[in-house]
Amino acid sequence: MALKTVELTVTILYFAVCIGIAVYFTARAGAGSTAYWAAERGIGVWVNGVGVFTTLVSGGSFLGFLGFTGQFGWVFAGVSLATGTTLGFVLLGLLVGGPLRRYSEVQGKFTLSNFFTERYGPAAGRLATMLIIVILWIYIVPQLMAGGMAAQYVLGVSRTLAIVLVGAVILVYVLLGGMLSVTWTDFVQGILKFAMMIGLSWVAIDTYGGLGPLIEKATVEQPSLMSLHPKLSPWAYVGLPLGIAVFITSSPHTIMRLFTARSVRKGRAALSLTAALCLVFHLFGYLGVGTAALVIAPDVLRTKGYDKSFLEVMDALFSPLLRGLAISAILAAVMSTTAGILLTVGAEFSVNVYKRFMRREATDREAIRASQILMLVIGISTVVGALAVKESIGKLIAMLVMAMGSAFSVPLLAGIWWKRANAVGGVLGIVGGLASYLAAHWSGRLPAFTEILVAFPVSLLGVVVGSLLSARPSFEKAQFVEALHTPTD
Amino acid sequence: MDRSLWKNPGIVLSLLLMVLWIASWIVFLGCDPEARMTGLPLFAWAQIILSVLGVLATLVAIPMFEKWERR
Repeated sequence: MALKTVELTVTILYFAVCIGIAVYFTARAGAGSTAYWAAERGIGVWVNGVGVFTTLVSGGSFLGFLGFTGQFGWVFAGVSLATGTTLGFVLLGLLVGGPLRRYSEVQGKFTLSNFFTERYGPAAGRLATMLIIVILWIYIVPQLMAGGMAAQYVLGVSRTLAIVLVGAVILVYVLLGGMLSVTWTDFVQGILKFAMMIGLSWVAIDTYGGLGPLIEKATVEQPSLMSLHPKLSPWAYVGLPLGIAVFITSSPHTIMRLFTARSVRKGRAALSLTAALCLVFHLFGYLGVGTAALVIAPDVLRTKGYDKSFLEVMDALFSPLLRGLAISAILAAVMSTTAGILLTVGAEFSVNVYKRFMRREATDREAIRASQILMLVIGISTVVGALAVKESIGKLIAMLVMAMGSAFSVPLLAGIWWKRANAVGGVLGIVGGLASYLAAHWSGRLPAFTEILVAFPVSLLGVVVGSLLSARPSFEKAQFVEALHTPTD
Repeated sequence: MDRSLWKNPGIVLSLLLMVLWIASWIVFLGCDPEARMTGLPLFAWAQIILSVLGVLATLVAIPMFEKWERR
């Protein structure tokens, strides 16, 4: 694979802009923890809505889940992803966004495990901190694999060098600017990602003379493109969207973005925008691009993996300039998600580990510095992980998001809405959800993508039974829940 | 002050969406997975329509939240 000059130039220019934004916001980001972790709580609807969208739409959305279109059909990939992400953000907006944004403002806290600590006590908080750091740490691995694949395409370098380069650039800009720079960079990245996926889908449909002819050609290669795939259990069509929706309602790096909103109302409006963007992106984007990949490069997909779908279609249908922008979009997807995750892990470590257990008297600046060192360690270790793992990007991400959703969604929702939920229920919900998910996954007894259908009810049972069989929470806890639903102005 | 959670717009709309979602699985996936309209399974149409309804629900809910929360 040779160096692609035009594409590389466009990509470098794009990254220069991103780094420029990071440098611009460095001074403001250093002003304190609210600025660094919550972007001064000053982000409006459009920037926040696109920012949340871009945090979710990761490298996996371009290279992993999109590949499911060719592998299992558009009904599984496009419809499941569109439904799961859209309804996930709908539920986040209806049930979680407002109360948690208010909690963050009143308590001055920035992380999901802060909430678990105050709602369910220190044991649940510590458990949440540990799991968030570990799961998100692993979650960066498939992102870097996707980034490496894109960088390899444009640079013509080895996979190893490509992954190392992508990891280095992401680390520089997260360490420089914090959430403020990430949020503003993500606004640019989100628009680019949306435009490239929708634009490529449009070009693909137009090239083949409309949707009908394109689908007809692709169905020859994948007969189940527009129907249920015979190798997948019907439960998979329930499990994948439900798992993604459940993940979104409790994903720490998405929730952290809620804290940046200028007000509760603007935070909720931003999530409506995010839900709409997700619907169009997955439904229309996967329809054109995923389907065209089957027509353009069926042999490549079969032999080198369906993860290459976007790259093959882009290579065939885009001009070099647009290819440069499309590669930038993939790298943006990797960069924004990884940056959001690194910040979430950094905040968890800074607030809940460093200041609580390692140096209680640490200033904000010292705690941020300590978390930056951890982010550096995570960045380096995940580069090593990405070089070693050979699993499909889509399957790896699906497993991690469902594990996260299994652990946190029910305890979080119960913590916000059920005053009777207590510490025992919270811990049982987290442990039961995650343990049952992992047991179901590793046992191999359930059809693929259906583990959440066991883990979600187990977590629910853990919260309800654990809470009802132990002492009622204190009056203060009931007041805490009440305050989540009471305006402060 | 009537702040029953069952009257919170977030809870009401979420439950409504979840009931519709589960019903769509039962009707279109469980009972008649082969049913199609314009080349696409009715199951897929149901998911798409439900997603659009969900987005509309979030827009409708914003003013309703403020009314409920200030009770």
